Amino acid sequence: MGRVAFHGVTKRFGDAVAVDDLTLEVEDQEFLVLLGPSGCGKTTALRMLAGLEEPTSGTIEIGSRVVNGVEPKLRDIAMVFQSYALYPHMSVRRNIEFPLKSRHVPAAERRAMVDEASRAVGLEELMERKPGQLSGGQRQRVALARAIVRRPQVFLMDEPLSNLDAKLRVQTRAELIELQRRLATTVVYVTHDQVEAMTMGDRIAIMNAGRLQQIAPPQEVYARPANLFVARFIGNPPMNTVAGRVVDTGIELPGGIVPCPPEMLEALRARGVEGAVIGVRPEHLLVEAEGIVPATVTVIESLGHERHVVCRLVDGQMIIVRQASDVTPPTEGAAVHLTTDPANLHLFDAQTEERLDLGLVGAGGPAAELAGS
Amino acid sequence: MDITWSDFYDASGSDLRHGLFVLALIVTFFWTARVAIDANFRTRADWAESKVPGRDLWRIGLVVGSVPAVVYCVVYPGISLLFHSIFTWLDGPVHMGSTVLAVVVVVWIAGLALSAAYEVIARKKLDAVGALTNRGRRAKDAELAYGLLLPSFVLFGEFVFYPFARNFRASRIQPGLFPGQPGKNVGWAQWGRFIDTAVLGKSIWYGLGRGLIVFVILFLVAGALARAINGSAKPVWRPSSIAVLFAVPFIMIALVHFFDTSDSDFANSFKVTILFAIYTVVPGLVLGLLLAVVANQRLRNMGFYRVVFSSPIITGVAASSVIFFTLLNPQVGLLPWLGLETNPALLENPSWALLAVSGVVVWANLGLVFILMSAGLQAIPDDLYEAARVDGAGAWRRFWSITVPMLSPTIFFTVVVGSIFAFQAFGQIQLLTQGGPLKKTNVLTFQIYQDVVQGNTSKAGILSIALFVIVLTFTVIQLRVLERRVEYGN
Ligand SMILES: Nc1ncnc2c1ncn2[C@@H]1O[C@H](COP(=O)(O)OP(=O)(O)OP(=O)(O)O)[C@@H](O)[C@H]1O
Ligand SMILES: [Mg+2]
Repeated sequence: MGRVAFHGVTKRFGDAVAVDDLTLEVEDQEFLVLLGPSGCGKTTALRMLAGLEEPTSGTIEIGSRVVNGVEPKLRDIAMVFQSYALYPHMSVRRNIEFPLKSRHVPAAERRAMVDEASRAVGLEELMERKPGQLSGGQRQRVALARAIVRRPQVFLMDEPLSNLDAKLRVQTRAELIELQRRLATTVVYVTHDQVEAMTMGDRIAIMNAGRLQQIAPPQEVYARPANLFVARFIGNPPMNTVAGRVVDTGIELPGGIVPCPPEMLEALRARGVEGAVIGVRPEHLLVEAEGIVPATVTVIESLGHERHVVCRLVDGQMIIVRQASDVTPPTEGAAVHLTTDPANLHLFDAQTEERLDLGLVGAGGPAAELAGS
Repeated sequence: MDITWSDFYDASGSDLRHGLFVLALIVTFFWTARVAIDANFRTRADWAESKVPGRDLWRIGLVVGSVPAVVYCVVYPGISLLFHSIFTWLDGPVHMGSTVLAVVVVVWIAGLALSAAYEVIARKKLDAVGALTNRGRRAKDAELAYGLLLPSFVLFGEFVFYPFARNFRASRIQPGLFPGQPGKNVGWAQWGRFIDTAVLGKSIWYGLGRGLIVFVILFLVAGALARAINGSAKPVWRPSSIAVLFAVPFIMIALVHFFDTSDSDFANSFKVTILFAIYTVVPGLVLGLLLAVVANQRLRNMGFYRVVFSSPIITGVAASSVIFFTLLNPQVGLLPWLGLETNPALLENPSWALLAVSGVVVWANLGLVFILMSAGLQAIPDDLYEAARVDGAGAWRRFWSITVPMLSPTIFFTVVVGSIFAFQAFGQIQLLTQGGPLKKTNVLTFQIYQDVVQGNTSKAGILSIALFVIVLTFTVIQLRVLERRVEYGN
């Protein structure tokens, strides 16, 4: 049915590689989010899926059919463009009707389908208006209605919420998910907004510079980022990462050595890891008087429900600690120590930037025994 | 020979004409006053909120309208008129028309002076309290703008407005029977004769046509009065609406005549001009659009073809006509060489001459049409086509459902400009056919030219004005359509 697969898909524009050897599968009825920074190739991947762009190499499947070279209209997909691409000279009704007309659906049937689609997105009152007379949110709904009216196997959406204001975005997010559940179709959804990705996606595919970094459910992407890029990209404020050197007793950070159990050091040495990057999410750090890693509090930012304590390590690296607002704050300028539950530590190879899963203990961290800090 | 004001205003004629003239002057007066008042005593917000349609047209219209009006109606006859009517008044029986007119002219001049004074005082007052509104500042800017425009107004006045105004005079002088004999001022009677004989003929439409003219005039007057009394916020005298209404009788009469069998030079020329416009505009549009669509494809070497397609634009009327005159020549031309021969030769063949001339014009205009269409096409966002492709529309449907509607303002514009070109075409006719054979290519401009050459200046004057009205109508339509285009964006 609505299964989608990329097999080793590469797209070049001249010398520039927009999408590099992309392999991923989207399950039927899955809501997959393509997430990544600007220019990472999300739109290009989506456009190849839509048939608006041909891959330079690799194959794309929709259903169980290879669609390379197949016209967009024969792919049984619908797309919501970032600009909405509504036909400005047509009324809302005629906009929604257009895909049906193009496919020669008889008039009576067409009417019923248009009415149903417009009801689904709440546009009944606006059917005779032109797109120019609608608000951004209303236009977005017209684009959505035009996509769902034909009940395609797969919906493609390119940052459909980016033109909406923050409040409307939150509301529409929920509506979109509801709609997807109700229609039981596959959705491939492009965004660069990680909140959107985390809240909407069944799985998130994170891309950077044309390459797929990780594809996993939102919780896993957050809890077990596959590499440094993902670790730093997901989460706000982002994960703190500090490079260290593997020494005889543990991992040496600026200002102190985080002691590691011998079997772990063994495992690291066995892999030839000399430098390791330790990552901790801001909410997992505690500011205490005693500990292993010394730091100085420089700024305290209060957001009301929480607080960000900005610290600097002895070498000046910035570390952000997220505190609940009911915790007593440290004073600015105070010399403190940073500690955490070892289970919350992430370890990355400094060379390859890949996550180091040493097959030892602990779900989140590399080793429960790691560091008494 | 002493000059009397009847040389200019036909005092000996009927008072109705004066009435109309007076009306026009009064309107101009109010118009001037209103603009002056608006410019100073409404705040910027008022002005913006009042959404007065065509408020800039007012200003332009005021200046463009005032220059010829002032030259023709005031400066030129005004002084002699004043003296003359005063003398007439002193000497003999009072003539209603001239007195009224004199009074109106005085009032008008006074009004202008008053509003100018108004403006000066208002500005001073606002300046004094340091609260010169944006509006006032803009009025100051406008002063500068008009000042800068003045030289071109002088030139236009001399070479466009004044000659144009002279048409009205020329159209009322019956030329002498032989060269050198002075013409006789017969007043607007010439117009009546023209409409009776040349335009209307003696058909069953005669009464209808006249009735229509009266109806339209009444309609104008009544509408203006009604609105003035109601105090409508809308400007009463939008120049464009006047023009349209003014053009209606002409167009009606012309159309009526188009289907009429009576044969006059005007009817023939009008018919030829309409056909010429159709033959040049429609194929030109289709061809230009086709080339633009082709050139808009992202294909190899398209830049080269674009240059080729737009190249006719650099060829002047004369050059292109001479080129085609040679190509179509029955002895040395391209057609006999191709083995295509008509007898008589193409440009002398009554059934083909107009089509041949139209072909030349289509070719000559193609560059412009191509460029207009290309620009229009490039303004259509790509994502509309992409959306349509995903929505399942094939190339044909994309063309009709997206390209054509999105391009419609450009298409309208092209049609209007092309029609105006067709109505003004002269060089091509002069060089290719001289209006022949059997007057089959005798377009209006060429008829006018022939009338002038034959000394029939009054008829030429009337035809010129008729032509002006027709072209003006097209221009107004164009402005309207372009206005609508603004509603498109988002
Ligand atoms: N038609 C094109 N020609 C040349 N380069 C292109 C073209 N389309 C995209 N690119 C390049 O490919 C890369 C990926 O572009 P893409 O539009 O897929 O990014 P994106 O992830 O959608 O970014 P954004 O979040 O800003 O929309 C960019 O570096 C871009 O410059
Ligand atoms: Mg994009």
